[in-house]
Amino acid sequence: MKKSVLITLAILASCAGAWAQSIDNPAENAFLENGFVRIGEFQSSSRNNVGASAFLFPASSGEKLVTGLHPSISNETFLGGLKAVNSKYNQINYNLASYGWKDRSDGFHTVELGARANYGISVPKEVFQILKTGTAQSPYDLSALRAFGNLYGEIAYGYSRTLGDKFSLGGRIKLLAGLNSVDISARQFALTMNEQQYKLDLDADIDLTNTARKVGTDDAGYMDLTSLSGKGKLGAPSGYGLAMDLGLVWKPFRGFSLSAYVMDLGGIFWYYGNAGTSSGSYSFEGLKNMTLEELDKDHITARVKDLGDEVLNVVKPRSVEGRMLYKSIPLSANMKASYAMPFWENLSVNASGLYTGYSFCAPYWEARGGLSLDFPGLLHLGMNAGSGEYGFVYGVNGSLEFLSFKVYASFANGTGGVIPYEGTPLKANNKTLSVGLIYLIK
Amino acid sequence: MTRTQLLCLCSTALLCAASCSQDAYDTSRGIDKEIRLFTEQVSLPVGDVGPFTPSLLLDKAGLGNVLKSFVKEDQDGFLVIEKEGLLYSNPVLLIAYTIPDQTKPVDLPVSDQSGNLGSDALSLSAIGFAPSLQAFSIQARNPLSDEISISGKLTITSAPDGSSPAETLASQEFSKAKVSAGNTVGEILRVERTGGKSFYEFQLENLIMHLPANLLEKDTAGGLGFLELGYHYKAYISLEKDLAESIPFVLSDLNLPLGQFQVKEARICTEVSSEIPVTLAVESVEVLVKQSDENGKESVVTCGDVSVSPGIRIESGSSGNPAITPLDITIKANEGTVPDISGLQLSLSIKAPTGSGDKRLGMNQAVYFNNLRATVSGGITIQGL
Repeated sequence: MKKSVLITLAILASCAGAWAQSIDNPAENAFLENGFVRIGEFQSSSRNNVGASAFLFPASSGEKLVTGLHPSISNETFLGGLKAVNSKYNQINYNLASYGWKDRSDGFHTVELGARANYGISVPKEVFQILKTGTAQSPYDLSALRAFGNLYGEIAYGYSRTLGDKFSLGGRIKLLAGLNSVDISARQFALTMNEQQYKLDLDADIDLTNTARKVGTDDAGYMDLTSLSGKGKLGAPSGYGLAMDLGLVWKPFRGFSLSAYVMDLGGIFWYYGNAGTSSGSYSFEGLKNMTLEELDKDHITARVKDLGDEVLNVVKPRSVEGRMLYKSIPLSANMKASYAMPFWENLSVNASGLYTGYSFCAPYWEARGGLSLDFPGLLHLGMNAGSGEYGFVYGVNGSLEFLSFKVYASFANGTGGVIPYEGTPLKANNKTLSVGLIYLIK
Repeated sequence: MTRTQLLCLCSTALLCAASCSQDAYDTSRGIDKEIRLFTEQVSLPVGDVGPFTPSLLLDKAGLGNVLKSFVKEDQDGFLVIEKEGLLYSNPVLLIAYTIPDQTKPVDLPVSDQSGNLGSDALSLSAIGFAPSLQAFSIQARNPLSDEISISGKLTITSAPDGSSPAETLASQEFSKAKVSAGNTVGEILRVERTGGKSFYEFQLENLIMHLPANLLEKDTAGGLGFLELGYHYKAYISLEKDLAESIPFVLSDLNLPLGQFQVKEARICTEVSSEIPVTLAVESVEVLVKQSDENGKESVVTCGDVSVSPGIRIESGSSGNPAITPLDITIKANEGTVPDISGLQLSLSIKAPTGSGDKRLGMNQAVYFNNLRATVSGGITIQGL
């Protein structure tokens, strides 16, 4: 093997690992000749529709960085770089183990056990607009302010089979067991800020599952997040749900394949035993009936403290009966096409597309084209590039096979750079890392 | 270029892009934590402040104690000069013995009566105050079981002023003014005058009491009841002339640490509701700042770099009918930003009310600063958040 090839392999292995096969599309399995055991697949995705460069700026002096609220940063520069809703979303998928086998009638069965977590936060632009420019644009709608996190396990059964030698169909049905969930969201969060009045209209929920601990309630009926009781039953489900994956593969002629699938179509009925609602209006029209004698620091501080208590009475969540809520899980739709070069079938050209949307998080799409090298039984190398919701994207993937073991990995990212030594993306970005190990039954 | 070389080149280019970090964003160099909030403007409702009372004004003007020696507060809080006295008092028994035939009604002449209302009102004019409304009444007490009536003439005059003789301010005849039975005091005549000279002297002439027959029998006290005549004088005080001297009004020890926030301009708006029948004018507002000399000795001096504009004028109102004056005050740093403010020094003028409205000065009147609101333009800077 030439030196340049070895260097390329070393770089790919160190940065991205390798990618073996599409494990997402259940219909892919139908073409496997034998079964497999997959252990410990880990996939991490992080998506942010604004990057650190929207909040941090190199100072003109070239020394320290400054924040978007620094006097040297104009309103247009700071606010122009923000989205209407600025969100950060992370998702971790961990497949503990999978087992796949082929039955006598050519059907392929899989049983999978895994755990998934996702969490995110979104902040509307208005929050930064108030801080940067002031109250001139009042009123504000802050109802997009939200934070959530979910942890759930899944047990999946999959079945796929070929229809003729050019077509396969597959599906997975997943039993979802919700472990823990938190969701803070607002139906209404309106803020009026002018010289006549500051007015807050709030109708928001906080929902926490109580698998582990029970949140206390104070004498006034508010949730007391500092008071937790019960030893908890870590791992005991607090929600149940169903989801399914559906896919197909079409290989109309030698060297070409088309794979299309939808993942995670379904959701979980969560039981939020720790539920609270913040609801009400509060209007501040100044400190009323203030006498001249009260115009001193102590009196004013006391009055302001009273006001703070009144605002808290609206903002603090009041405990309500536990509630059952349905929450969908992150859905994605994918399509991939591959064509092996007739003059060298180890080399393929690929095209893929992805669309995913999850609740309030900004929908994300991307389309890529790429090349891949396949040496069956030895290695697979692939690279791709394209365009997505946030601009240019690229990815590498590959796998190494030794005896019956195959280690695989893939890495997809956008461009725009990162903060040195930290890795925080400077621009809007979608990054995915996936690694796993599979034992092929031969 | 071979296929493998091409693959190497593409891979390396992609991986370089993946690991590309931007030195300009190296946070290890530190992040400047200075921030400027609300760069366009931030508005805040401040509230309502009051009451600002006449007593506070008068005390600041040094007139509080002077006024108190001449005037008093009536039940409604108005500042008044009040005087009353008994002019005539005779028991029924004594009157009956002077009547030749008690079985018939009789018209009993009473000697002329006069009185002096004093010089309090005149003294007040020396410090700019004068009666705005004067009321003089004649009152009578009738102990009989039957109604009686009284006739006569009332004349009220002013005090002579230097070479000018006294002026007749009111002259009114009354005929058979009724006095109800029942030994209660009843008013038989009332004279009111708005503005003008103060009442000084009065005289009752041609007084005749029209009494019923069988006088003694109709006295429930058996002749020991008293027929009485008296007067009551009440003058409401108002400011007649602008007070000559401006009142220095110092708000010390405010100690507003505005310097650190680098505020360039602040605007304060309010609607001033004033029931006090004087016009208040703030002729000037000077900002006081602390200054240290070379020995570290601290002193308070006026700051010329901060202007307060425009002039503040609060219109006069009256009890139950306050005047509403919108105020819009701008505090602006002429150069740089507003410093730490140690205090404010105001020069306040008190001017007499104009027009024909109610000018009575009362201690229950008040000035309220309603709907106070503040707007800061240009941002608020905070270091090291």
